[in-house]
Amino acid sequence: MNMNQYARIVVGLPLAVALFACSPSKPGAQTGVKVTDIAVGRSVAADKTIAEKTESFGPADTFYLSVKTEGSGPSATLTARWTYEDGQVVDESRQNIAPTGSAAVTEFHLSKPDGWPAGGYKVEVLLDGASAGTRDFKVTSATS
Amino acid sequence: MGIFGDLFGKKQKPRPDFSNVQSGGSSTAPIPGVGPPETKAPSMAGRTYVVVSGDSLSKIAKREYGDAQKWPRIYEANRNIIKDPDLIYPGQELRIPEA
Repeated sequence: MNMNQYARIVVGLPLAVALFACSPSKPGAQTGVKVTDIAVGRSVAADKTIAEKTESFGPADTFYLSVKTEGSGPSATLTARWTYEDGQVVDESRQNIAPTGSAAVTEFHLSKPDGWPAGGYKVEVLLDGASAGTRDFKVTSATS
Repeated sequence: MGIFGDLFGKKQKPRPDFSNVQSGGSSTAPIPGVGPPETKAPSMAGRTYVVVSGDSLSKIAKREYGDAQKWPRIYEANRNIIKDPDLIYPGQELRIPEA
């Protein structure tokens, strides 16, 4: 091995290792499940999809969130994190699913017996802890 | 009022209390470790739903079937654990027959 070959190995090997180590990991690659649609609304149909989509709720409404997923995996965790406009976490709920390949729909719902305070809300959907999308909506004192 | 009026004159909005929020959910996907629902016999087909605070049979029927009037279907499928259709409890696992 001459000096030139040695120099190539000394420089090239750590570079190759560094490049490999920095390759981005694919979210959800472990389970093969991905979120394909997120919707909020006032009611949900029997197939768990949103029957009445809206971004404006009344204080007495129940918030429904429908999350469509595709792919299969032995276990995936969907989390719905609901927050109020001041950053306060309203609720965080999880569902473990084991999709078998075809599209699956998971619904979350949230109600408040004494009525929702008016203002802006956000729901963030996480798949296995990684954010898969958010939806903003509002509550107005006069029901639209 | 000027800057100081803007800064100090306004009353702070009280922080809303979300401690009594009730949440729940369900999925068309199987639950891990339970297996796919497609392997069921047609007459016993259905899913399991865990009751959360604030639920009633009609609310569950509305959510599952899109029709609150179909609550007797859930009641009949769970007669072994529901004595009074007006009384269901958080944590109860109800069988939801196919629509």
